[in-house]
Amino acid sequence: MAAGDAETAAVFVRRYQARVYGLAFALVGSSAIAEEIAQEAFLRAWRHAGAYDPRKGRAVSWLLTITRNLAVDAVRLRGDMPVDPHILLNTLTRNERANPAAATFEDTEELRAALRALPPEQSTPIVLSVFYGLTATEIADRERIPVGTAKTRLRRGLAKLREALGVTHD
Amino acid sequence: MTDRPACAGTRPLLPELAAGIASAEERARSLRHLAGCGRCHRELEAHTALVDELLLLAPERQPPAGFEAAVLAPMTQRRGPRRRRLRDAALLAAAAVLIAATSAGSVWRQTEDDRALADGYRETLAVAKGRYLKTVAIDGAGSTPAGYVFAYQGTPAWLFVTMPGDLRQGDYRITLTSRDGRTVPLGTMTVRPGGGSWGRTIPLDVHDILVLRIHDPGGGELLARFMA
Repeated sequence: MAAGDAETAAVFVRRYQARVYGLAFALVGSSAIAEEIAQEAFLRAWRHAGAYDPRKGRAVSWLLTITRNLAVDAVRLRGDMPVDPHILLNTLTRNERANPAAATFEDTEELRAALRALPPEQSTPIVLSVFYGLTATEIADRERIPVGTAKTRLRRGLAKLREALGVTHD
Repeated sequence: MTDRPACAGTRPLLPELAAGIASAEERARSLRHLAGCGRCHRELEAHTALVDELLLLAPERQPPAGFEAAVLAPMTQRRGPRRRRLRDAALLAAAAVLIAATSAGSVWRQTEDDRALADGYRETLAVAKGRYLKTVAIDGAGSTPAGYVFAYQGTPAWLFVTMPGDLRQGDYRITLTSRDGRTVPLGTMTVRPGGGSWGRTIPLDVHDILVLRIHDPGGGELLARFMA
């Protein structure tokens, strides 16, 4: 492999490793498993770099989606949920402004605040679907609610978050 | 905002589609509509952007020492993403040829040049660090299998299901039960006149599969028993 490719790979990994490992760790709660997931996420992204379409979103988002899907598979195979969704929710909504090392953006803090402001019956389905890949049926089973209610709570919660970010309908 | 009837059927599914949790049927139905509806497509993009932002909420965390080197080693040793795609395509083509060459119910067809076949098999396996390829019959009525599952143990591991055309037509949901008792949903196979086939990579090793379950639209279940 040419030296340029090796340098590109190094820049790619260094730039995103904290984000990728951070997401994996937040989902599985184990350093060893998070490390495996994060490594595989980088390898898959590198292997399928040709499939990335910059018009569809940022590279970091594509990479985090790969990470999340790997974590979902890992959690499913283990048959449990290593990190309690409510603990994960607290982690996600913790104010990062107090952390001088954290790279945050105004929009991110607005989203954190909006997620924090949601009632638990709406924020929990969001965490369970977006971060753990649970279907509406699985959310309904876990929360002991009808499937239609689970779908409605998910949609309403996401709609509120979109309003908070100023994403408008046409 | 008033939805057209077609949009009204798709709009409620967009959040689940963006979160990646829609069922295969819902996804297929939505994508058919989205292909021709710019409005709903933009709505999906907005939902997807929100999901992307949510994933970014996870706090950054520095991985353990040695992580960077461990990731870069295989990345810089590989021949590059383009060659990997070609190699994957060659693997699939070689596997398809290999599968087509097998007779029903057995892995190998006896040919005059078994050595050449074995060499070809080893070469195909080596492409994706494969260890073996096996077939498992899908239980049918009587002694005739309802179809076959081809299972490849490599990196990645994958399954390929083929079923003849005299089955009930429709969508068959496919799940597997692992040896430790977990149920893993895999997707949906559509059987049309002429038969049905389906394949995907799997998130576990072939030897960890206990049974593959093919749920027919009428409520029945066909089994491929990996561990008899």
